[in-house]
Amino acid sequence: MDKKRTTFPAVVGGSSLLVIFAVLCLTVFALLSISTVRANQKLGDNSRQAVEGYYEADCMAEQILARLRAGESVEAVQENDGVYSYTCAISDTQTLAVEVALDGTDYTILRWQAVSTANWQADDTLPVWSGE
Amino acid sequence: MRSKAPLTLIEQAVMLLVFALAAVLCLKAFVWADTQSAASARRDRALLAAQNAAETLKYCEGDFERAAQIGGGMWDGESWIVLYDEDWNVTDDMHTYSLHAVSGESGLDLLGQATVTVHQDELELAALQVCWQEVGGHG
Repeated sequence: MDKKRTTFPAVVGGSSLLVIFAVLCLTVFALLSISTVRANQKLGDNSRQAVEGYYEADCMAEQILARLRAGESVEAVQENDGVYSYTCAISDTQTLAVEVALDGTDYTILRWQAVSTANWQADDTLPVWSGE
Repeated sequence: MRSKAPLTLIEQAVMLLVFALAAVLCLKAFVWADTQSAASARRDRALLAAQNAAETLKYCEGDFERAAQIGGGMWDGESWIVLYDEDWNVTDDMHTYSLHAVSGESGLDLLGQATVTVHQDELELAALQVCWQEVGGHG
């Protein structure tokens, strides 16, 4: 009497699934790393631009002040009772506002401030319960 | 009944090849990301060092010798030089980064000007121009 031999079929495809899962994980992590680095680079570039823009505006403001101290009249400078006011652009959304009191070559800085010139509107699209 | 061993073996070989290829590509991406991140951090730190030097010069109103006493480094009569090691600590010996502040011509008697640059060997990491008022005044 022949005994029936039961043989288990070879498990084909199990390792394939495992490798596909591992490759997917590797790919996702690699893409995340690249994305993070690109975001950091963009932030660094924006920061550099902001700093360089500020110092350019600062130099321009110092030049105007030096010319005023030398007795020159400079365009776009407003004078009011010995106090001179002018602005120098830092970027599209920021400007350096300067107010200086002059007495010959002596000067007193009343204001040397970076101010925002961007239009800002409060976002009230999300209705918040006021309590009533 | 035909054996399925050769099929399994081929499958394993193909999967190994696929995994090796994917691992090499992803490893390259990781290494690139790490290199870029380090370069970005270096540039940010160099810009900070340049800013510090620029503000020190403004405070000292162009007195490079006094700026060197406050900010470290040395004034050799022509430029203020600060040497940094790989951790951005001021050093006199082997350095990785160097900061140079050189006086420039502003074209105006009452205006002082200097250019501050930070280098790693020949590579310029940051550059800023700084101006200050010469003689008299306060504020």
